[in-house]
Amino acid sequence: MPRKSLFQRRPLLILGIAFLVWLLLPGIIKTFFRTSIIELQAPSRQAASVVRDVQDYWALRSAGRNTLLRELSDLSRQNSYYQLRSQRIALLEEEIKRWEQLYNLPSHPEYHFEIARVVQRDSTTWWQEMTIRKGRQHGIRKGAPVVFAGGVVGRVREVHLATATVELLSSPGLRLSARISGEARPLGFQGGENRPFHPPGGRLDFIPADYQLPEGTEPLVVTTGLGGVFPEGLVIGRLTSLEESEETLFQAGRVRLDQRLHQIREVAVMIALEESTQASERE
Amino acid sequence: MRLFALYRKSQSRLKIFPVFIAGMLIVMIGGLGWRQLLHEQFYAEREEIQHLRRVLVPAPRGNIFDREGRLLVGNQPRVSAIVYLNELRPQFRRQYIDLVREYQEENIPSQGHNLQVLARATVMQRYMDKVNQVLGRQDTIDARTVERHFQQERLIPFPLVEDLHPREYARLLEQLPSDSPIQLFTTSLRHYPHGPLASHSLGYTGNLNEIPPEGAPGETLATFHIPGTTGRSGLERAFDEHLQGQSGAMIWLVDPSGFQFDLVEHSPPVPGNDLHLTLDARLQKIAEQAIGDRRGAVIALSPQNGGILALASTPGYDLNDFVPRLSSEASTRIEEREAWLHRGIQGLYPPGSTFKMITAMAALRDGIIEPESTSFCHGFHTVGNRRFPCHNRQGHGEVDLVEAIRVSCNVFFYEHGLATGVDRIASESRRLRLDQPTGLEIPHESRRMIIPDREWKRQRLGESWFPGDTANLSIGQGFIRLTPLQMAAYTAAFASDQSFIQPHIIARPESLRAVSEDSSRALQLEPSHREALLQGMFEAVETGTARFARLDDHPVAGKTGTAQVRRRGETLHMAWFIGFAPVENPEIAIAVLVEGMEARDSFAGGATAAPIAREVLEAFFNPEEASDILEVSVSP
Amino acid sequence: MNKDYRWTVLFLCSLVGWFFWQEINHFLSPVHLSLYLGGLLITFGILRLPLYSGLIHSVLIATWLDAASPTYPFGTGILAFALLHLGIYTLRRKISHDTSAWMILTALLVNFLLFLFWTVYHYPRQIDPSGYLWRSLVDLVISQIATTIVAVWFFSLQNALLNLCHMPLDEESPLSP
Repeated sequence: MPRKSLFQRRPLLILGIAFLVWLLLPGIIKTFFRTSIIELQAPSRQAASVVRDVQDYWALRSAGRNTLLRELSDLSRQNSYYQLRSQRIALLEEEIKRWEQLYNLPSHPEYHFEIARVVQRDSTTWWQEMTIRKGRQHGIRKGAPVVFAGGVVGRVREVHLATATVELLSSPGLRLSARISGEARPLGFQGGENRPFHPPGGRLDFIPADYQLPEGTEPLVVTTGLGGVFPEGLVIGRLTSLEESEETLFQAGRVRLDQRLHQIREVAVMIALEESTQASERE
Repeated sequence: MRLFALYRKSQSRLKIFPVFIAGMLIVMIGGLGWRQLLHEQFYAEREEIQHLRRVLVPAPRGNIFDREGRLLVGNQPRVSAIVYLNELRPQFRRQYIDLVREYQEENIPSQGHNLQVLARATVMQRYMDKVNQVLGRQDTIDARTVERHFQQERLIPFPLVEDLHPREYARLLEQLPSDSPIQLFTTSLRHYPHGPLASHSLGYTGNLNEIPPEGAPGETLATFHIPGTTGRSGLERAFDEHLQGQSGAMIWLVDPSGFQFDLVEHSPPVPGNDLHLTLDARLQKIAEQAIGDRRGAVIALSPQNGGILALASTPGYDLNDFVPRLSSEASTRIEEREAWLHRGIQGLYPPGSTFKMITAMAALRDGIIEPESTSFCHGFHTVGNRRFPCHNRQGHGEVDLVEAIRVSCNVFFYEHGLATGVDRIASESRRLRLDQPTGLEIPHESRRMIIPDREWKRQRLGESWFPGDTANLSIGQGFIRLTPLQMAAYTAAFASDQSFIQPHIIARPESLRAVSEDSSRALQLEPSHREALLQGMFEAVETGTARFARLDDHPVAGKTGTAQVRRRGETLHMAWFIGFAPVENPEIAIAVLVEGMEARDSFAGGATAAPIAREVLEAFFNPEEASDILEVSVSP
Repeated sequence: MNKDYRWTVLFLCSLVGWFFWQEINHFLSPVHLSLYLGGLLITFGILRLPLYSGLIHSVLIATWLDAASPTYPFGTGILAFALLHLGIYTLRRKISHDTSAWMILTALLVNFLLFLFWTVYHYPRQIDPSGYLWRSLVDLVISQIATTIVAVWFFSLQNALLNLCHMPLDEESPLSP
């Protein structure tokens, strides 16, 4: 019988030693290690995303000509509508600027929207996030708010070279300052309800005990703009019910998030213009 | 075995040893059994005391509402950024090791305890820096505060920043990770949406470090308190127990260092009970605005049931200044303005001519005068060798009772008051219960009112009663002192043909409402006599001294008064108005007092107090008028 | 042992498995379901490779999964996978392990234990504990079903790849250290 090495005789001891070495390893090495793996994973994720795009392309190619023409005419109608809206918004923005100058008000921070394709949705029991196909090289910054047509998507958690991960609104790790539409008081929103086959949800805390849900309505919950990350007025979801918390001073409420949150294919990352100019100056 | 053999062979005297040892063993086993079986409960309790700690959390106090359900006193959250020391222990230890190493490397001598203190403060400062970074502050941690908290209050969260503005906690909420040891902690603070409205009556609260642990579990355990509040004045004080609620208790199993190990029991706080008042916030506001910057009191109540509608005392103070605690500057400001006094229930003033109604009642009741009795007013009345003037120096000519009330003729009341005598007037006053506090639910109502008579003067001043004293008393001057609340209660009672009506300010719960055994007694005045008095009061408002209280749509009965008081060598004028409306089936009774502070304040009942009463009465009969007066601006 | 590079082939094969696993999760996310197949990826390595060769494979897979996980410190999964690998490895000598049924059962057990570990690990930060437990249960059930369905094919794939790379499993000696 061949002689057993130490590795073979004492597997647990070796594991213990390895674990200790791991613990004592400087954080920077671990971070480097981890980032390298993520960068290694990125191409496969991107490849999958491209494959999905190709699938979509061929699905469209196989659609009947009449269907496409109908879609096209719908789109051009929508397009002209949005062009009109866009002109109106430009006018209103001018107006707002004029008033702000007139009253010496601090002007609202302006954002540049970086549109990004969703590479992968990772909505597990334990975390909810998505990977987008834009990263450091596109000016994406950690912590930047991410939005879509239905309101807030989440916040950029990590930025890599060509990808970034976005922590979704439905994740328990995401908290933001919110208010009920029509109310002034800032409340606390935290994601974390992800029941199967149900729309994602979250909890609204610090609702004053005397607040009553208007009967038959589900008021909008929007960002306050006070928290310093998300601008004001972005839709978070709808307040569906109230529950008394043990604190008795406040109630907690359940918020239903947009059903589309976990189906999004494209998002917009908001980059404060100041920030992006500073970044370009540095570069 | 050899040992036993040896033993068997040994002397019998040695046999005492096994017996002794056996005895000892029995005692030991017995003792053990006694402790384990019989005293089990005692030791279990001792163990509990040693290993369990209780944290009492104050309950939010109950709200106070007015008669329309408008919030007068509520709660607002006070948000603080806190850390639990328990969660930071590994960091304290790591920091301590780093410090020890650092000191050793640089050969700096230091005591272990000092390094521990320093390590804790350093870790806390690190968290403070995180908060500073988010909020743009530059706060620092005081090592002694951390140490005191660590030694004495380690189960209670350590506040990094207290009283965060909503904008600040919104930033912390959004920018700190959800699993950060820095948490947002809320306690409740009193909130007064209408600021100084009814400040004296509602009262304020003060900090209470040791919450009374009523009903909370774990009475025998060592207890930590999260500071709460207690009522210090007004209704907050009188109904503190009702409003206080029941503290919540968390019972923690602690480790040998006294830190949280496991939450054994948690009973959430039960909020305090609400109070509903008879007060009408709108009327109260109008009353306070009507007095304006002058000192005085306005009291309006329902003659039907004695429910207080307005109880204003000026100057007041903004109750929000007391939250979380009154600054010394604010306290000095209140002191300088003499605003602490609740003039409505604590201020003692001679009632002046408003007292003539009582003189007349005494005279009518005892048949000294009839409604038709007359006097001739030359502008003064001589008693002994002293002239007592009427306010009309030219004289009112011949006046009967109705006319005397209408024009407030002093001579008529000097003359008939002297005929009635001090004893009857004092007895009539006592019949109307003016010699004792009304018993309103608000604490510290004055008990020092004076209904003077012969006995009182002899005891108090050691002098006999003179006719001149009676003349003064007849027109509500001299020694007599009453509170505006007493005058208001008396007016309400007269309006409803009763001798006393119990004023109260609590609407619900009814069990807390002030009751009096003889709360409702008939006035027992002949109808024609009462009719004459009513006629006099009505005409006083229509065409007499109280005409500034006249309303177009509702007949008002009223009586003015202007009393003089000598204070600090100056003669000060106290302007009074008492009245009710409508004359038939009255719905509101009112007493107004405006206090002159300097000799040049030429206040008079008709010119100063009656217009205030008019504003309140008008607002009472026109509920839509000034309905937006109470609108509160809410800002985030 | 030094010349045993079978773990490289298994690792590449596992990456293919991981890729499909992630794709399925991408398409399941709109209905709020997700699969956990970590146990499936390492079972073959535990049962069919020598201790250290298999352990390297498990640790590599764990590192790969840990890198993309946002909620726990990098390395937590490595420890969990390594401990589980050792635990199951010590048991494998006591029982028959070369039948497909036994391998599927082991994969289900490993997957269950890992799922349980992560569920307990993440429990304290949940704001909706009942919803979380319900979701976990549903996810666990579909993960186990998926494991049962896929396991036979996946193990055969791993076996076939090893043969293709001329690194067949040694039937006699390498199983025991």
